[in-house]
Amino acid sequence: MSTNFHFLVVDDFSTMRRIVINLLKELGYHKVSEAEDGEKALKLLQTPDLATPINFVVSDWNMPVMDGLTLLQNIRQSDNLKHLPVLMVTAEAKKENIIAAAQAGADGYIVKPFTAATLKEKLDKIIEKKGL
Amino acid sequence: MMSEPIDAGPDGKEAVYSRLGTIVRSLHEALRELGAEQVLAEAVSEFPSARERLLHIGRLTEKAANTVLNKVEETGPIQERLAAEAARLGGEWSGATVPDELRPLAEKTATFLSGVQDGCNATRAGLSDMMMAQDFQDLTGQLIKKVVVVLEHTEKDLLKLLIEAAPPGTISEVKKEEVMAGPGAPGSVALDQGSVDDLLADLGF
Repeated sequence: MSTNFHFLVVDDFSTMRRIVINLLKELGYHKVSEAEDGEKALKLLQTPDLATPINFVVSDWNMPVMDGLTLLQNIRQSDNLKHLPVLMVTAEAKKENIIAAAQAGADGYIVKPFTAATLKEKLDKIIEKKGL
Repeated sequence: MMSEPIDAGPDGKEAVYSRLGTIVRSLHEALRELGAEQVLAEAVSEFPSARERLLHIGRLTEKAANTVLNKVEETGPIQERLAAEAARLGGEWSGATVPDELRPLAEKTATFLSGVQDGCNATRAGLSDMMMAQDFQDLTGQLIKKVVVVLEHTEKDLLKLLIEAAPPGTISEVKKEEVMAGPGAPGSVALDQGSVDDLLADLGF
């Protein structure tokens, strides 16, 4: 089942992207792409000729050019992307952030710093809930 | 002098502004008399270097985090291969017909191979923790970026104040020796190890 997933990790810090990508690999998810801001992520998501289309987005919130919330809103407004699971992984942990993300349609919310176990738990929950 | 009450209604705005103007003028005069313009000028001149030092810290921590991540990515698969090979070899031993005289040795080998797997798994877990610990760089990096932005704004405001307060032709750049810039910071007087050794040798050490 895990081989069917193609993750997109969106974060402006390369260190964080590497950490998340390595964690995903440890969890058995080996197909992972990356983007450094929301705009680049959106471009990748809209690329029609990807061999395996991206079907899971893990995104930071605070990024230049386009932040994670705007990315999430764009995904939810797009007809062919709106069903994508989106997990927010961010240091923004204020109540209004979490409410805004939930209202925009985030499937999960992880506060940095986080552990491998938290990532696994949230991923499993989304996969189970969405019946993926 | 501040005893008269000010009418704060819409028509009283003028009065407030005029009172504020007086306060600013006297503050300006006081600053000049105290020689604060020099202090302001020095503060402004130190901002770019403070900013640069912060960014330098950001770069150093990012480099350190990347070094750890590189090593984790290099050594993790080695541990995995060792564990897999130990498991495979252990399986071969357990299915093998072993002559009596080699039995104690075979048992010791099997125990060792199982220990290798445990050790590899523990090392893998440790490497994973080391990797996770590097997430500090994401948080410190974001903080540094924010502080740098604050510094930029403050610098601009201070510069504006300085330019507005100074009579024309009196602003000169203040250059400070960067000896105090801090270890390894750009602009600090830094020698590499070879130059340090050479210098010490010249001095007879």
